[in-house]
Amino acid sequence: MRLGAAPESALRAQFHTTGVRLRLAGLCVNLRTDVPAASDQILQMYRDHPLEAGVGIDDFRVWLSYTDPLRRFVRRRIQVFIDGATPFEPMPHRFAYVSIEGALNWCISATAINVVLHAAVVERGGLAVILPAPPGSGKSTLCAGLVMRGWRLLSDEHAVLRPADGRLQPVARPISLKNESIALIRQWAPDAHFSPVFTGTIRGDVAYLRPPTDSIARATETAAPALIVSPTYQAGAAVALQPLGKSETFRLLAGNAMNYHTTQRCGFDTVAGLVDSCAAWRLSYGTLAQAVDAMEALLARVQTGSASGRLAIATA
Amino acid sequence: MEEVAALLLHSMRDPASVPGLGAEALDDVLHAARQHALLARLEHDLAGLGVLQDLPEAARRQFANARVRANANAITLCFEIDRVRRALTDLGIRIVLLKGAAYRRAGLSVARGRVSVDLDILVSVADIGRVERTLIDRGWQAAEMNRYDQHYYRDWMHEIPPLVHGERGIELDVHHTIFPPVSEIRIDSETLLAAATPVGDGLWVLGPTDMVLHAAAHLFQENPAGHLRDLLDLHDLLTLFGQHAGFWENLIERAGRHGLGRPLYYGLRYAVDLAGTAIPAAVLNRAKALFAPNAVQLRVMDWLVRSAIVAGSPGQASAGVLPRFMLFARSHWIKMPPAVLLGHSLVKIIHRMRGKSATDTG
Amino acid sequence: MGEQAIDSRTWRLLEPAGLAWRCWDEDYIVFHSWSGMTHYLDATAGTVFEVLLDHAATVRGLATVLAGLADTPVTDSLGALVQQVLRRFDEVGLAEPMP
Repeated sequence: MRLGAAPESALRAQFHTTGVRLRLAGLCVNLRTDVPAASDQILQMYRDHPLEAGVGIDDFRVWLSYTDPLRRFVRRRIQVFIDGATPFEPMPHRFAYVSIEGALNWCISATAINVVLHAAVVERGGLAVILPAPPGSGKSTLCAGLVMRGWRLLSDEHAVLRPADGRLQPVARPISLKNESIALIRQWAPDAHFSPVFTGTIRGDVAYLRPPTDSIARATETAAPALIVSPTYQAGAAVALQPLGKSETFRLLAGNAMNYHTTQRCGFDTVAGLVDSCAAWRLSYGTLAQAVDAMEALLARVQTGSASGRLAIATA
Repeated sequence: MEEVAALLLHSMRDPASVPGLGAEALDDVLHAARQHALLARLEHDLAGLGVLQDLPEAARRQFANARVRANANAITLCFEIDRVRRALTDLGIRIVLLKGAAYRRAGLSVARGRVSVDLDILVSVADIGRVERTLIDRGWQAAEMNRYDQHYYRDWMHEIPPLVHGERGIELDVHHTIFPPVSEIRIDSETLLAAATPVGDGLWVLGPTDMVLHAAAHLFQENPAGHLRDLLDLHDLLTLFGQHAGFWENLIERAGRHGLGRPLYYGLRYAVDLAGTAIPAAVLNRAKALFAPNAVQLRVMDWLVRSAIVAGSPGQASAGVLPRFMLFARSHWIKMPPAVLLGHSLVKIIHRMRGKSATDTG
Repeated sequence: MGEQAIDSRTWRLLEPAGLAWRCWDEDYIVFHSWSGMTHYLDATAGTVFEVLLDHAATVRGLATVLAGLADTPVTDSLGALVQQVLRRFDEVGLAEPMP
């Protein structure tokens, strides 16, 4: 059953007691909170996600609450815990939902079996594209742009690779967008559902975009990686696609990984296998439309089996 | 003691009981084990019993993850120990590994499933200056700290400030004493160093009695709340060394001579009470006669330890270990020096010698 | 090579059974399971690595191989470069001088 189909009052009560259990990236995360601002947004943003019924084994127990009894009423501050410990400082109450998303990021990254890269992953026509990039490179914006044009969302943050078969595990969580990207994607996709904008975070303004129901519905469907595209946004830049060398690609992936070191030899083999089997590109662009077009053209060429090599995209 | 706490304790003491737990109880045990950094240790014991496959897939997944994490940590720790050995080998001094590093290097079963974030070593106070200089020379850097903190570390905490290797980021703590300088404790490092046991390659670990006393002092000098792991470590050490002739007598005698009787008494008492450690009655009676606090103090301590050594609901004190590197893991890259030959620009070296393909693996 | 003191020791790889690597263009990416570390080697360091995979070698021996591949004479600078690479290998636990 979807979260959105369950009786709301029962769910609200559940947040306070046994917790609401969500299945994400093959994991089960138990979310408990007595902060309505957090549970409200979870119900909104995870409306289409499957609800794990009853009692079972959870991979993580997440608990979000006020820092002390007094903080429930005055200068409210909240803190999130994962299995009793916390990687995060206490935060102002208005960032309650942001904290939940931060905790979920931590949970997804905490695996030691799958290899988790810091990258967006989208899929179309059976081919998955991994978009590795350091923060601030515009990968989430591009990811959102593609997803709102029909590409399937696997994740905007985590490329979860299964070592056994090298396939990507979807996460299909809300896409986090910052600052100018928020207005940009609102314009790009007027029907998209956004969380409220959270102003004054360390990274500026942050808002979350709910993924299309199709991406969520297919969250158990793994995908084969076909391409690696590292996006670099620069206002006013011409669109350009340049091949990336394999060793450079390896460094880009492993250097931006969440758990490369923990996975040891398995991590090395998985990333090396990915680099061996996928062509890699750097995509520079100045507008979202250019980037989306370039991605579609690139995918089309791969689908028709065009030889890889220097690929020049005419500027608009 | 709370029900979940008792369940966790029972599961750790008797791992064979775990496959028989219902789903809800198993979920509680797994959560509590995660909270106390005991998942990998439990996995090791369950694997040893051959019962992992009897558990639900969701439980097996968690155990598999914990195993990989612990193994990666063991590799990193062993490598760090080796690098410290290599860096300090020419000084010709006695280096004593402490805690997790010691357990690992000495091959003690107490090391199973342990995740150590730091590497602690003990050297003689006379050597500490040379050690610090040598380490810094070899790439270790003092962790960033202001002058007040430095003073605190050097003078009160009997350590030089933690050193972090420039590239690897594991924190190395170099101690010249290992017990807080409170009035009751009267042990000096020369005594500890003299009684150390060699583990090869110029490395040492504390002698058995000192290892136990250190573990007990570490646990009971600070607030034991949430430190179930440390109590179980103590249980393992007592069980192992208790088999050595003369161990108990030495333990009592050493504790008395050096003012460590009180933490030892607590260690023995709660190891028996909570971990079921087998300690001869005569030893317990002697320790009680020599080192026990008054009845009121004891009752308070009983209550504190029994109610809090297993952490309760979130927000309470917990020994849960979260990795230091949160969302962005370091990838441990080393870049080799660029090839510059004489006046040549980058020389292309053709690998004629290689008849192998480009994707060779070891 | 010149008369100033050069390292005459024989060097070997540490725990070579735990090595896995790729060579793409002339860059090497080497995973060493003993240390758990991943190393990025350029062409020169990669060549030293390849020689040591095959057999233990001295600085002079390695310099001779490098010189042969680059078709240049064996010089003091080349020897110094090799020593630098080996020192780095030593630091990261890839290689050590034999006793």
